[in-house]
Amino acid sequence: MPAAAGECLDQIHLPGWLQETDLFGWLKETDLSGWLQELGRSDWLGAIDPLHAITIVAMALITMITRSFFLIPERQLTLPGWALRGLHYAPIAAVVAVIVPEIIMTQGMLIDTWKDARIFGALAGLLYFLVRRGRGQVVLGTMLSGMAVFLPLRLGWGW
Amino acid sequence: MASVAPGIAAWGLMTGVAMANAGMSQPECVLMALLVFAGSAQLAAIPLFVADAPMWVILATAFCVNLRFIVFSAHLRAYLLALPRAERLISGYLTADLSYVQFVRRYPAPAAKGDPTTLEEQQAYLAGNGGLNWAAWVSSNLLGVLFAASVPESLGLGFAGILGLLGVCLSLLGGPQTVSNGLRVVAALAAGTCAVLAAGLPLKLNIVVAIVIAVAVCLGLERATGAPTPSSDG
Repeated sequence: MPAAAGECLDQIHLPGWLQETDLFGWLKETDLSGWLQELGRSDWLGAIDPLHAITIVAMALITMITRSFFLIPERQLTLPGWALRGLHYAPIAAVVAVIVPEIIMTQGMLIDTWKDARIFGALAGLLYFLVRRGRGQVVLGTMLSGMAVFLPLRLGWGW
Repeated sequence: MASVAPGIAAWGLMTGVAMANAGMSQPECVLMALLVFAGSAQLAAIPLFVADAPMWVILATAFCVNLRFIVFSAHLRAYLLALPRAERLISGYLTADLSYVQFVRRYPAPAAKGDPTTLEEQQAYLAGNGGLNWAAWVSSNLLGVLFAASVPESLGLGFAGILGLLGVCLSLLGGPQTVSNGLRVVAALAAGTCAVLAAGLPLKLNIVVAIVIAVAVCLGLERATGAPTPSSDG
């Protein structure tokens, strides 16, 4: 840690119990800024596409805004009826729109063979869900049972 | 929540592996694991990131997947309104699907007006449960991302993300009965068909087209069949 920053730390008065932990002593000894600089120089952070980073931060904001939507205003907020109804259909439509092409298409074309590990993986997941009737940790179970079928087919038979 | 935390963690682990193994760079995965805290939206975003879809398509998709939370928030308003806005935002952010379900099962109605102790208890339960859920999710997500670094992409573990979404989609089909499950199936079929038919569109626009058409079809069918339209779900 640079000397100037260390002096700044000396001017801050901590409550007694925090002084005993010697937090600042530890901070001064750790080469935090050097570590950060090294991280910046390394290729690791270079693999962030700035646009992707912005997208991810915006996704976090979307999480917060949708989960708090009706919690934000002090006054009761009303949405038009069609919008409230649409809320029930949009999530499932979005999820299905993402997964179906990923299961039955390759390079933008419908697959032309049934020898594709993805189909059988998805069917196995579906079967698991139906057997469990949607009870318990179904998302995890669907994922694991699907992979249990997908992986041998993909790795063993090359489907 | 302690009882379901291992399940959350296992799902978080697999999601982390799926993110990293589908071809997103490791620092991007770490950033996403730390901030986004929405499994379904994360999983839905992966193929779009990998296909280099434009930002607004990714955000629109994540937004649509998360729209179900708006319904939850309408319900939670009565429990949390007494808190300052910042605390409401934090509590909302922390309340994912499972926390919400467990909360309303335990407290079907907010405490009566003259009972601040019970109300505080409810608020504390919600935030505490959500916090535990967050910790289990973020830590396991990060572990999954780190673990994936030692697994070759050719193994195809990224497909686990799609299978997880399949589970999410099947669970959504049996959601709250405010809309008919039949129409939810229609939404799913319409969206799947449109996404495949419109797959030729650039920029992954087929996803956006599919969502818009599926929702429009369902709202139109509701009107045509005269399904009940409650004024509010809150």
